Amino acid sequence: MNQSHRVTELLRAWGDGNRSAFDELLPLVYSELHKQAARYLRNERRCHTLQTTALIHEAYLRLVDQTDIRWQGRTQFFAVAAQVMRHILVDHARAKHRGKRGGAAVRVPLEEALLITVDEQNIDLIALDEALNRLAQIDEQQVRLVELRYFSGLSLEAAADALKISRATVARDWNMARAWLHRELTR
Amino acid sequence: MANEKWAQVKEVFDAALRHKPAERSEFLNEVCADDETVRREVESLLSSFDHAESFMAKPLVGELAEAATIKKSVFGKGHCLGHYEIIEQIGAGGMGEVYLAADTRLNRRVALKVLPAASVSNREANQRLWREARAAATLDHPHICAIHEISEADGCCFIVMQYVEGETLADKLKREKMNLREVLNIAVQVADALAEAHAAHIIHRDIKPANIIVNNKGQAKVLDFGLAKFAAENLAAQSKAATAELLSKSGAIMGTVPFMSPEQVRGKRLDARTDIFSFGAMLYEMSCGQLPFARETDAETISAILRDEPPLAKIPGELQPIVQKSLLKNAAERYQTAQDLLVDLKSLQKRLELETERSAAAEKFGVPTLSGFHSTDENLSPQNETLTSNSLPLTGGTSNISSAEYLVTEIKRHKLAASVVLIVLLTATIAVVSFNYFRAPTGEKNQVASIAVLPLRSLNPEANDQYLGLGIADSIIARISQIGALTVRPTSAVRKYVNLEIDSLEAAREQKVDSVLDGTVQRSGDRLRVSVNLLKVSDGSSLWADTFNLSFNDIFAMQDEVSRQIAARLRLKLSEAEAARIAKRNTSSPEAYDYYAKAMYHFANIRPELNTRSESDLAVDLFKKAIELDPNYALAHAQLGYTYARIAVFQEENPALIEQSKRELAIAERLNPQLAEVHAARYFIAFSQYEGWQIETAIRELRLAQELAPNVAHSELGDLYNHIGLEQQAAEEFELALKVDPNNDATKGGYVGEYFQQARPDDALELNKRFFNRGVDLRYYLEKGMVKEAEPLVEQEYQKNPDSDVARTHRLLLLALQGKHGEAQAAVPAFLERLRKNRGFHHYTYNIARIYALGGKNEEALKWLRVTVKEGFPCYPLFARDPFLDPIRKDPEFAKFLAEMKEQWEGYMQKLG
Repeated sequence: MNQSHRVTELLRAWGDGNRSAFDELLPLVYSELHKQAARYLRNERRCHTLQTTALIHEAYLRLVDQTDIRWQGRTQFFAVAAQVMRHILVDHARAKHRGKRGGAAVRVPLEEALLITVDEQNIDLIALDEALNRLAQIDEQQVRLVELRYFSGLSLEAAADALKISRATVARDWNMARAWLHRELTR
Repeated sequence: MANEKWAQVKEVFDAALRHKPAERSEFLNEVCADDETVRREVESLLSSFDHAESFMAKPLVGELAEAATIKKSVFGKGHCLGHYEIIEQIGAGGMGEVYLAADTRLNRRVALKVLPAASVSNREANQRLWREARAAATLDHPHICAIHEISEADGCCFIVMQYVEGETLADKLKREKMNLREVLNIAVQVADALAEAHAAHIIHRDIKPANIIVNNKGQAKVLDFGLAKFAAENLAAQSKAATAELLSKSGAIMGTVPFMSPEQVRGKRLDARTDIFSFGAMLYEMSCGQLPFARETDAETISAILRDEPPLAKIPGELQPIVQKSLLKNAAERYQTAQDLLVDLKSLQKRLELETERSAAAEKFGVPTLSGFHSTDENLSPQNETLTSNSLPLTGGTSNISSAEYLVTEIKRHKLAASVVLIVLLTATIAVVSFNYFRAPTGEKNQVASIAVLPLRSLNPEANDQYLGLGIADSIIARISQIGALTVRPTSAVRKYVNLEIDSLEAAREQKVDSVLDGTVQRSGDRLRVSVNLLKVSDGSSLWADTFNLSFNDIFAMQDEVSRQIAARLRLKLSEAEAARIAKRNTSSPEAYDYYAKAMYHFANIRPELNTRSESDLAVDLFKKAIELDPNYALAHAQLGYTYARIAVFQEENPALIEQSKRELAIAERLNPQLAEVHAARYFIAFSQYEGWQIETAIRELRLAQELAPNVAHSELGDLYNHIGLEQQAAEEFELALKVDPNNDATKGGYVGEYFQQARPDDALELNKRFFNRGVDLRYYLEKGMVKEAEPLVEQEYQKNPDSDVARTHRLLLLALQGKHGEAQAAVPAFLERLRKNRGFHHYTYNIARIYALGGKNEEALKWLRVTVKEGFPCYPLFARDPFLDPIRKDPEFAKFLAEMKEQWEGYMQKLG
């Protein structure tokens, strides 16, 4: 029952610079998001895109103690959730696509019953993940931004909020990250 | 590139992007004049940027979902196809999407399978396929999922099927291993279905576990008869791409490789024997959890189907010959008909049952006496007479081996009077068989669909044995209530006739039934004389009458016989499972039953509003005595558990009683997993102060109870639905409750009362008119805020019942409505002091919240709203609609609360709606 207290505590600790809090947060957020994503896809609310932000927002409401209003944990939570979304999606891509590179289609079974083919974009998620790891060596903020924007569907404004940087910086970083990653993936 | 130049690259890149592409080169010349590395890096990135186009332009997950939703097309809740209204999607397979839908004309739930759109021209080209699918739609068999119609609307071709609850056999197999008895039970049903379809020249072509639905009673239904080919060829006429896509997605269209017959994988012309091969493969998988020919790839699997022998050693020895004969490569060597297969399966099933029963009987039954149970000669029915000529056909195709076997054992012991007994019991067993095969013609006029079993009248004026007449009626009611096709008035409805001198037909009309069973019972020591008469209400004719002279020890055989006769005489179609459950005896000890019947008599007297503790204690004692005599008496354990729970909830705040209750229920369930009573009791516990008002669990328990006994607990379920704001479902349940027992004033009153509690006074008024011919009343005025009209009535009510919590609540609400907020609020603490945390608690706390809301005390109102929710009344639609809460609606905290409740409610809709 007190999971929400725990998550709130961990987020606060992480915000205060405690790195190990993050490691503890990951699995908690992971399981919640995974559950939510699966449920969404199963019960599919008839809108044409999955509202990823809605998904994360819902996870946030479930996981973070809402009564503790002195602390605004939403943006921090989004930052964690974004990384988790990346894990979820890449892990599944890896599981389904072991060994293959650059294939035309990457299958991402968020829910076993429902295989979704992402072939419009031709993005190899595993390669992208590896490129992001390299980018992290140079510019971690850009990686976080990609996670927020691409893996979690946050708008520029929301991402700026979550990263506590200006919108202009976010826009600049986003262009740069896209160009850099695109180059990495087309090499 | 060196990382230290990153910041510089970033800056230059960003600046360059602000220039027009044509000017960028010049710009770079300027700023990177002395740093070739930075310049080259930025140029490379700019080029990449220009080619990135849609790269990462849209969020990944949004993209995923779009891909999913486009492929699933699809219809949302409320979308109408013809006169079918979509409720929700329940599956997606190779053949298209499957929806749960409401048939708005016939007012029933159906499953819709929407095939990829078939145009009119396609349809003409596919006349033959349509004919075939339509032929499949004519199949009417208990183990075939009925196809109601095949239709087109809005360019969609769809198949309307019976909606069957349960899981697929494939899911079941994933979840658990099946024992041999379960395997045979399912196999017999499926083979039966195949035999029926094959007789109508309809082949399935895709028999596999995913096409069998099994419910938790072990009943199986075969889906998609005759549709595999229909779908495949219908699709073939579509665009190549669509076909290829669907084919690659699932082999379902053309059969499913591991279950395909050799002739099927060769693409040869198929006949019914292909289904027998697939059935064999499925039987194999059911028996050991593995597929007989599964290999790494489809190609290897196909090769194995054509060449390899199935590894029979993995499956139970008894099944090996049947599986082997089903899986022969050459169709001419296989079972030639499903009927042959069915015969072998059934005889194996019988053999196993006999063995089990024999060993159980040897262990369990000591020396029960069976003396002189017989029908009097003058009352032998014609059916009995015809059967007397049958000499001991014990091997007849009966599903009721147990009593026959029991009988044989008994006859060996008691040669006296044996022959008459034998005839009677044989009649019973054969009756079961005969109505298994009997098909009631549908739509026959004057068909009997409902019955009231009246308590048998005691003919001993002095004896204290009314409980017996009621007990016998109750046992018969319990048995025949398991027949889905028959509406049986519950014991609670007929109880009032115990001491009432009333003509049976009059009672029947009062109960709004079309048949009635009445009778008498006379007990003298160990002897019973029971007479029964089954009447058709429309013309008062007797459908069956009989008199039993029997020893008390034979009371169960008599109950069996009466129940079966009712089913037979009313020409009801029983499924095998129903027939088996009717015959199921809860105890083998007549003495234990005697105590149980007495206990139930007192159990029914327990009333929450009255001081009936002595009745509870008596019931507990008597149930315990019954259990002492027969420790395996599951039903007695269940009802004892229920009694403990009722005491704990209504009479004595004591968690230890709940623990005791749970223990008894666990024992009952272990002894007999099919008792609705266990689930009814668990509902009662789950939705109580002891377990934190677990509504979802409680609802699930009630649904389980209803699966086992379709007539029970509808008003309870309706009540729970109302508590979480599933109003539509609640109304449906109340209507069902009234169908089962149309005269139940408690149900009607509850139905009305809940509309008031939901702040729907106009709907309540309408119901009041419908049920009681009553007009506006105190509650109506209060809910409508009609202060002037309410004032005298509230005072009147309070004068009459100054101790009533309801009357006090009304008073406080009235004060608040009159604007006397100080007075109303000041009275709250004293009011709370008196309240117990019982079932009504949350309704009182809700009214406290309303009183504060009317007085503009937002914080207090919200506090009590949250208490209300926590105490088991999370009713979002009420909170959203109630005008009493209007004064606090602008408060952002209330808005937040409401949003939370809405989300929870949507969750309920999804999970339980």
